[in-house]
Amino acid sequence: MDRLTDPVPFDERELVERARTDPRAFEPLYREYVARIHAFAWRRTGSRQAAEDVTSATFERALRGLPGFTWQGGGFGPWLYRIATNVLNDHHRAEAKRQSRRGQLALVVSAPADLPGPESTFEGDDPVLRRALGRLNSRYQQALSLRFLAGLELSEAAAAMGCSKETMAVVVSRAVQALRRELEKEAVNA
Amino acid sequence: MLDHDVEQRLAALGGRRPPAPRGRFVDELGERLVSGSPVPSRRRRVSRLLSPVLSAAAAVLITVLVMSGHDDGAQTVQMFQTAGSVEVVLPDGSVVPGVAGMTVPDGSLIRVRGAGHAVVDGVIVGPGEEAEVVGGDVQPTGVPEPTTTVAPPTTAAAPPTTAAPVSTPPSAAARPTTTAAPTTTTTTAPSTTTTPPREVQPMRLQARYNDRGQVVLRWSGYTGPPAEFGSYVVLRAPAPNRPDRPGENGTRIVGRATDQQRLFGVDSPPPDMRPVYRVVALDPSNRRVIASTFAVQPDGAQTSTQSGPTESQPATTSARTQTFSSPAPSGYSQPPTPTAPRSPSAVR
Repeated sequence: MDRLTDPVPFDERELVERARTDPRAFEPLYREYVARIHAFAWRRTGSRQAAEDVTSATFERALRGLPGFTWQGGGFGPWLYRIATNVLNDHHRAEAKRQSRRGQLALVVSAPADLPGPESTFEGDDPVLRRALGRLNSRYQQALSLRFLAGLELSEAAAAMGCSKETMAVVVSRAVQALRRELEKEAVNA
Repeated sequence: MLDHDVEQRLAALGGRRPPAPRGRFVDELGERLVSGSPVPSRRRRVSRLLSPVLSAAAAVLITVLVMSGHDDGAQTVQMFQTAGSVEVVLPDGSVVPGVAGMTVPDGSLIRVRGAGHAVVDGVIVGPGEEAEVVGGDVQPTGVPEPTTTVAPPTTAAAPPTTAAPVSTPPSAAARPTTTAAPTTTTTTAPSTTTTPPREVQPMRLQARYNDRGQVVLRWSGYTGPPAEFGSYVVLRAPAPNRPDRPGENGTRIVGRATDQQRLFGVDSPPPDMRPVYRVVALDPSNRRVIASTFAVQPDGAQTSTQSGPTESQPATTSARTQTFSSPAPSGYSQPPTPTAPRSPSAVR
């Protein structure tokens, strides 16, 4: 599991400060986190292509938002994951809208680019769980994604969501309950 | 089901490690971030270019065609969309119809007949074009030459006095070009048949090795109207040749970009080659609009360039000599001695 607490072989703070004005300094930060964000996005979307889209959007937003980044709330890593969860929420909203329109038209046309290819699955993937997670409200999705799929500690996840540890624990607990209900609903419907 | 079970499932999913991101994706995104030139992602690019109708037509074609026999672990690319007549020449010489969803193995040639098109791994192969799959990259190989794509003499090449047959419906093969449009307005004033001057700035090109032994290319871009832009094509030839036309003097297409704002690319030339590059802007009909200066990339030394005007429109699109001086332009580090590239990477 990806950990943010691993020792980092470079001075992240210094790079972040330099990257505020020099995009070239952003590259080491990008290289450090790209695989983690990509894996996080893949677990959440179940698609390599979507994971690449989310990863791209996350780092582009991060680079754009870097001048406004402050060191409060967990540092660069949690901040990056927070952006990723926002991008993922946007992604799921767009996806839901697209599916809905298709349903109304009764013309179920799945663009070939969206079909999961052979590389879109990985060992241990749990599409049922992912679908149920996608039906939760965005705050619950964000909490569970950060806590379990990104593997952040409670304090890091709380920092990423901008709340206290205690609040985060409550949100996670309620989100788990909501997810359980969704899974039970799906099991009944199946 | 207990909450604990749900947590365990979440933890199990979080503990799984999906495949690492593709090296090409990581490199391209890194270049893009550092250069500060955002490029639409593949999905957005494809969806913008293809209408829902084409998507529907392509989806109908998804149904079958399993090519597992050709997938033996070598690099492959995915064909996302097709329309019209698309065929794939497989490495063993057999020809199969190109359909959306199929996996195209390395060494294949993709041909688009007539007015069709194919989208392969995010690269659009347009009408009449060909592309080959090399090292997991899709490399367009067939760019129709201007002389072979113009309309018959009675239409596009007609003198002003022949503007009368304006009612002749244009055929698919004789798509009107941007320079022929004014001929349809009058039969009396010969001056109306001249090409309106373009506000096009010369294109400049820089080439430099990065620390991974790849050549990073940056060009100044096509400044004409977006409607007259089709794509950038990056040509490479071994020095001392100058890249001009694909197939001549060792010139080959190493990359293509259909976004007018895409102003960079990365190429991995053979380690023993001293490459010379040129970027050509094509219009939507694949006619050459403007060509960049040549960018010579000597063995690990600074870049130098020579001018290279286009033949088609020398008056307005001639290139300008540019010499890069030391220190290097911003955004580039001093080029190290080139090392063997990790993987071929064409401009996309």
